[in-house]
Amino acid sequence: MRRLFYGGVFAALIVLLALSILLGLVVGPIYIPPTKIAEIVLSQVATPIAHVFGARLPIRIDNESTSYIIVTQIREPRTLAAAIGGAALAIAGLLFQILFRNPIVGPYVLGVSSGAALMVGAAILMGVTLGIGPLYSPHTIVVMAFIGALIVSSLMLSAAAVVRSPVTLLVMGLMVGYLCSSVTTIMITLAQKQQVKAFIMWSFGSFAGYEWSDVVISYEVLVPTIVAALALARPLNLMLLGEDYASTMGLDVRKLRLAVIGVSSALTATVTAFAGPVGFIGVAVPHLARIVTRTSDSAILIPATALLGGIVTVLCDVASRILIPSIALPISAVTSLFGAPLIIALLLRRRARL
Amino acid sequence: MKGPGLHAVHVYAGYRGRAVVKDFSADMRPGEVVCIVGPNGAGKTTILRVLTALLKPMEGVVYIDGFRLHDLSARERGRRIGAVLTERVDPGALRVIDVVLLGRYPHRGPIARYREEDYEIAERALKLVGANHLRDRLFHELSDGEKQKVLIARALAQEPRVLVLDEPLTFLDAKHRVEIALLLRRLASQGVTVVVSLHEIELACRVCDRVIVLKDGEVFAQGAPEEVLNAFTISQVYGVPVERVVEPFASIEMQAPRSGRPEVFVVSSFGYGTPVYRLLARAGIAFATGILYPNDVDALVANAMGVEAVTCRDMLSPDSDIVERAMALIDAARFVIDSGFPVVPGLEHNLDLLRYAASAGKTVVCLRDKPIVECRTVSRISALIDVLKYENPSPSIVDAR
Repeated sequence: MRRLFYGGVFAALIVLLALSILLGLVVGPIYIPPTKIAEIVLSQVATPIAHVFGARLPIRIDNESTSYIIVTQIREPRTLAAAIGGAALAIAGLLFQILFRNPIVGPYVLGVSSGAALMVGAAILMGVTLGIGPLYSPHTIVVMAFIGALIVSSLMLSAAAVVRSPVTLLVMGLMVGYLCSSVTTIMITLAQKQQVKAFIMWSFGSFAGYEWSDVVISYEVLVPTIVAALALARPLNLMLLGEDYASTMGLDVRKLRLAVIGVSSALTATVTAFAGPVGFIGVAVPHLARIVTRTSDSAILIPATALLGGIVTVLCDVASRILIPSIALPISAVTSLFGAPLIIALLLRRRARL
Repeated sequence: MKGPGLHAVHVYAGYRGRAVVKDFSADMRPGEVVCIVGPNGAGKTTILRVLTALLKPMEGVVYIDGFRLHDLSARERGRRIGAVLTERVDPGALRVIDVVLLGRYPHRGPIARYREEDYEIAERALKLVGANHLRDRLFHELSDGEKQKVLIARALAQEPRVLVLDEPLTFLDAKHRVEIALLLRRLASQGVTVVVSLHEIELACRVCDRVIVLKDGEVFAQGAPEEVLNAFTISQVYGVPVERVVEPFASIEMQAPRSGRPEVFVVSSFGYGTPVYRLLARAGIAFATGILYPNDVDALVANAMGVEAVTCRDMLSPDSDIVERAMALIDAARFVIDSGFPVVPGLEHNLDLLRYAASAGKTVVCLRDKPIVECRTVSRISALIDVLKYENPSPSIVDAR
């Protein structure tokens, strides 16, 4: 009965994810007929397979046509990035919610995004690049963001190794976030108008800038990290009874805390480096997953959260392209605009819990 | 060093360098239920946190089955000690069986799948606590008593040698209290070392093989409850004067209202007066009582309340001066209450007292179906107060309200 229910839920989520990704390829400011898109995608998949058997495809696709380039170079990387990025942020949020026993925290609660913003701000606003690469290059910004996220994460990790109380840790994370934001604010005040706009656009977050190489790196880092998160399911279930109970049941709470902060930070830092801070997904999707699966069992919740994170983020990315014709909105604007009321409505019918 | 069970040796423990528990030494052996009693702030929870390795002692050692407890890994500890804490638990939407299965963690670790065996152990634990019918319910939907049973089952799924429970009966109704108390005895008979903190001393007397009385962080007394829980110790634990303690029941009574000339006299014996005493004390009405035999429950309670109780010198009929004292108290009173004591040989003197009161024109209120003398009959004991206060009101009784 339960097996059947979860089997059904996961099958439905996988189908939904596939459908959202297809939608991500179809929708955009330039209309490309779905049949054409199907041809392009099929040829991408089939060509290497056919090549192995020394065969040739019966249809020929024009590799230089505008539609081919739009689909393969813009919509595909962007959509696939949104799928894995959403999954990663949602899992990071779920892990923090359970660790801190607080249903309203998200992946940025320990200041990871503020750290990334600080370094990106230094690059865009002050022209500080630490010799990583040319000024204003997207590559430089990715590396700077990653460094910022990493510095804050390691700081919080070492704090977690010594601080006993999770609340203290939470407050420390908040304070580190404020500290970074304050420095960033000073830089914004001192910077030129144009650079401020560029920085603000980055800080809204977007999956539009992904190139194929970025997508490959993201999957290479995020997929193993998500698998690692799945391995934390049972210890996280013990944490549902509180740290003291978890400890008496044989859990080394400190090690788990380090593992959760490590995994969540890796997930968040990787997404933030490429996409900038994407709000809302990490806080809200875990609740959506709880409502859909009707359980707090992390072994079910983590995969469900990953799939829903992918679905919701891809759909929001799609909406951000078409909501205002000919203008691409930042994704955070869309995620919160639609997501927040939805979650409030869903939660009003049930009590918010972990 | 040290045999099976849990052994604390000169343990000092506390927070921020300040010792809350000082020099705690105790041997808790398999098959024993050991109760830790004491007033709030005596250090019960602190010592239990040390015994479950949630707190490292500042000094001293705890041994479990010969190992130093605080040197064991978390999982080794989880296989040896199960704990039920005072913390309120809200695990979200987990079923009862899921919660109990969490107790298999120290045996299975973070990755390995639960086997058939794990489910059997979890279900057996649920059955042992009498909660197998709750198996598929959601934990957060259960009552407090049911939750407590499930949390105990979860600890039992760890298959621990030692079970530590911190105030497991608080917030539970009488039925669940008794069930859990019996369960602790049953676990002990299966060879588990049960360590439990209680603030119900009466229950400690009945359930525990050994009692450790804590006061101000130190062991005030320890040993068999029959030896340790005397009136003095109990008065220390509750922080009440020793006179308020009813020693055989390890309970305490409220101080009854004092008055040089009580307006109510309760004729009683054999425990029939006790509910009347308590009712009057609560209502703030001063009273005297008699004639009682020395070891009558009524005498124990009346003495603990600080009430004048006219009592025989021995187990024979009262001497004439005793009867005269009772008559004098009746003369001074306006109301005489017949508590409904049995009409049996040996209590004729109390029947005489009732007749005396009636002939002296006192208002006799009786709590029996077939009145012995002319009296006001009240069907329920609580109706007594209405009669005393609102019919024939005497100024001092009305003031008491």
